[in-house]
Parts: sequence; structure tokens; C-alpha cells
Amino acid sequence: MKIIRPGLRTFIFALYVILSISSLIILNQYFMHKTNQITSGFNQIQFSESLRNIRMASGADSLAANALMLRYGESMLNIRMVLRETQIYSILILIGLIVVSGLLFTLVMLRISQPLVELKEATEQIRQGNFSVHLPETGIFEMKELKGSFNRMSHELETTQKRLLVAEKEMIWKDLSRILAHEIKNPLTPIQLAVQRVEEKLEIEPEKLVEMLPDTLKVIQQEIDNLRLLAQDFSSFAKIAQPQTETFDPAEAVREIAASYQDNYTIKLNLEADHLIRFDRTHFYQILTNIIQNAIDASPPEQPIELNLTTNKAFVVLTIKDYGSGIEPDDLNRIFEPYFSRKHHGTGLGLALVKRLIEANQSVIRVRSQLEKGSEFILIIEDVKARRSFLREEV
Amino acid sequence: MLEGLFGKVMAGLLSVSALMFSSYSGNEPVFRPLQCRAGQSYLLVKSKLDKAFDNDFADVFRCGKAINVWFKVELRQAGNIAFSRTYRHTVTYDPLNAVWELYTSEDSRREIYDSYAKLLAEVSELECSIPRDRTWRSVEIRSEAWLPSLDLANPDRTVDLMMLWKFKRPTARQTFSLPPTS
Repeated sequence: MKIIRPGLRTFIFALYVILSISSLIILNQYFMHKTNQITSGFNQIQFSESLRNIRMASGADSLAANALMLRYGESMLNIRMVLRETQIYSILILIGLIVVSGLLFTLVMLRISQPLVELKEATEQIRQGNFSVHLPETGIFEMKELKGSFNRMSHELETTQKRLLVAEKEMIWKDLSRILAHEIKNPLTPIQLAVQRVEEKLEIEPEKLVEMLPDTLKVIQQEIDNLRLLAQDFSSFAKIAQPQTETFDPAEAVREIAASYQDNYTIKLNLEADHLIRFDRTHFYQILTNIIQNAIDASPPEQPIELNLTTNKAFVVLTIKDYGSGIEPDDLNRIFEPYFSRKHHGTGLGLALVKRLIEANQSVIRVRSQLEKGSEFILIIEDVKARRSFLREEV
Repeated sequence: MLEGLFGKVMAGLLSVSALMFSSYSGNEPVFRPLQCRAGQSYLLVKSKLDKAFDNDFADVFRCGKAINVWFKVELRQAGNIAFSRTYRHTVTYDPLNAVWELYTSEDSRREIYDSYAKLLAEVSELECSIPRDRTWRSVEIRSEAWLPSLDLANPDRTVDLMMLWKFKRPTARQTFSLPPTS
């Protein structure tokens, strides 16, 4: 159950009610005291009784005394009723005042606090990254000032954010251009040299051209393949398709992927069976081949690559461990950034692609590494089977 | 209907105020349960107002003006009003002799009282007879009481005596099964 804490408004309103009612009670006590004094004074007059005890000389005197006493009685009643009316109507007026002033007080409080609520909500939007929020500069003077300051701040934040975005875009484009230029230049140089060699042979020893042509063409073909690979890498990073998830046994999939490497490299498998994951099979293949290829690149030929599949609670944990050179501690935080690479070849898009594919499939990737001891990539994927049995237990 | 609603609202407000500020006690008149005795040709209805004249009425009944206390008795048979009559008890004070004259319109009787307590007992008592219809088997009797406004001199003004009852008219209502007439 949500606990509603009384806010500043509640405290101020409670204070207002307590103070106003206390003042009324004190005022009323004073008023009552004075009324009682007046009533007691009138009661002590005993006018009629005193007049009755006077012996009247004649009938006319008696009539005059009677008229006097009647007038006195009426006046006494009149005074009594005035006092009572004053009491009753003053109470009603005071209660009316409390109600009216309470309403006015609440209105003023709302006028003061509503902008604060608006400010709170606007701040929340800023926190969520929406800098375009703008508050209408209404309300009392101080609130207008406050809202104005807030609007100026959000405007400045928005401008700064736009500038940063433009700068970031420029930087990305510069990096990309540099990498593209470098990566395209790399295969172009051998191609150019090969073409030059063919031209030279054609001029100097045309009869020997046929002998060297197969090797030269092989070089050109290899570099064209490299260029195609580069284009493929950029293309797959740019368009990650919506995952087409299916449920499959991860151990089986890992075994299939590892099989294609096991002829040339030492791949050790330790896979727990009987688990199911919901994942895009193509993405799973791309992720695993990328990481395994990186592990192979980083390891000496004789060192094995270990693939372990275990579970932790409702998750499948797949680790790819190598005993290679490891990653520099400073680089660990950057390895998933696009175009970051310490390898002599490659675009720096491999691990960035891996991370995006993992996230697209609602999973997590972690990395542990020690220099000269090796690295370990850990994939954490929800275990569908464990989750199903967990839900059954819940029911 | 509006008058009744106003009375209820005022009485509520004044009760709350009295509870909060204890400044005005006033009177809280209530009818005792209605009694009905059935004769062959009449019904004798009796009741009494309690707590009606405790506070402030000593001055009212000693002011020398004729003070009316009004009672209304209504009989309903099968939802229809079969009998309705208004009675008055009038109190007039004689300051020279310190006595009160009470006139009760139910029986057109005039009585002189030298005791204020006795006067209050008589003013509060309602006793009237209603001509009985032989076909009546079950009847609902309702009673209501109220005070008038009073014109006062020195200064000249009109005061509503209902203020002393916190603007609330006491009422009573009871259903009686009547024995068959012979």
C-alpha cells in the first residue's frame, strides 16, 4: 500500500486551522466573560421586585408602576435577546469567516504550490532528457521569476544538447571517414602494386607475364574479398534487423558453431544440456562467431578457447574464455564502442555489433580480462525453461 | 420544506459551535412519546415538551407581553391527512402581582399561576381530543411546536423566539392501532 506523506501544504493548512480555531476560542471566552458580567449586573437590579414592595398610594400609582415594570421587563428581554443574537450570529459569522478564509487560503496555497508541482514535473522531464520543456510564466511574481529562470535553464540545456549532438555527429563522421579511408586504402595499395608489376612485366618481359599472373590475380582477388568483407561489416552494423526470436537449445547451437572452428583450433566445450533460450538464431550465430574469432585472434595458436554453458537462477550463462594477450584496463570500457579496435586489421565494429545484437535480444554481455592471462566474455540470457518452472511454482 | 431544512442546518451549526466554543447552550426541545387513548367517538392525544424552556425563558415569560407557544397536531389515515389543528398556549405576566396567566386553546381554559415551575409544566403539556371516525384502524399522529416572533420596544424591533430553540421545531410522530368500536 502506498503511504501518502503529508506535504508542506498540509502542514501549513493544519497550522492555519489550529491557529484560527484557537484564536476563536480565546476570543469567544473573552466575549462570554464580558456577557456574563453584563447579565449578572442586570440580574442584580431586581427592579420589579423592589417596585412591588413599595406601597402604592393610589390605583393610578399602581397602574403607573405596572406600566413601568412592563416596560422594564420588555427592555430586559430585549437586552437578553440582543446578547443571545450577538452570541449566535457572531459564532455563525466567525464560522463563515473560517470557511471563507480557509477557502481563500487554500486557493492561495494552490496558486503557490501548483507552480511548484509543475516545476517538479518539468524537472522530471529534464531528468529524462526532454530539454524542450517550457513552463508558462504565470502565477505570482516570484513564481513567474522562478519559471522564467527554469525556462532559461532548459533552453540553455537544449541548445547545449543540440550543439553536443552536432559535435558528436561530426566526430562520428570524421572517425568513420578516417577509418573508411584507411580500410579502403589498405587493400588498394597491394592491388595498385600488383597492377604496376603486371605493367612492368608487360613492358620488360612480356613472355614471363603468364607465369606471374596467377599469383598477382590471387593477391588482387584477396584484397577485393577484404573490401567486400569491410562493406559487409559496415552494412550489418548499420541495419540490425528486428530479432526474429525462436526457442532453441543453446548448447546445441554452440556445438554447431564450434564445430566449424574445431578443425583448425582447440575449442573446449563444457555445455550443460537441457536449457532453452528465446533468441534470434542468426544473431546468436553472429555474436558467437564474432567473439570466438576475437578470442582466436588474441590467443597464441597452441592455447585453447573454452566455451562453458551453465545456469544461474533463471538465466543461461555462456562464457567464451581465451588465454591470450588480454585487454588493457583502460580499453575495457571502450571495446564495445563503434570503430574502437587494437587489432591491425578490422573495422572496430565487431564487438559494437555484438553488443547491439545482445541488447536487441533483451540479454546482457559482460567482459573480464587480465593482461597476458586472457579474456572472458559472458553472455547472460534468460532461460525459458527455468522461467516456466518458476512461474508454475508461483501459481 | 425549506424552513425545515434551514432549521436543521442552523441547529446543526449551532450545536457544532456550542460544542467547539461552548458559548451558547440554548434549549433543545423534544416531545415525549405521544400517547393516544381511544374512546368510542374521540381520540385523546397527550404529550409534553421537555427541555424547551430551561434557558432564557424566565425573561421571556416575565416581559409582560403575551407569549404564544404554538402546537400543531395532525392525524393521518392511510397516508392522507384526516385531522389537523393548531393550538396555542399563551402566557401573560402580571408584574404587579408576580403571577402568570396561561390560556390553553385546546380546552379554552385560563389559569393563574404564582409558581414559575408550575407554569412551565402546564405550558409544556399538550392534551387534545380528536373526533374519531369509526373506520379508522391504524392512524399516524404527528405533533409539532414552535415559537412566534415578538415585537419588542426600547429599541423597537422584532425578535424571533425560535432562536432560543436554535431554530429547530420539535416534532413527534407515532402510529397507533385502534381497537374496533362497539
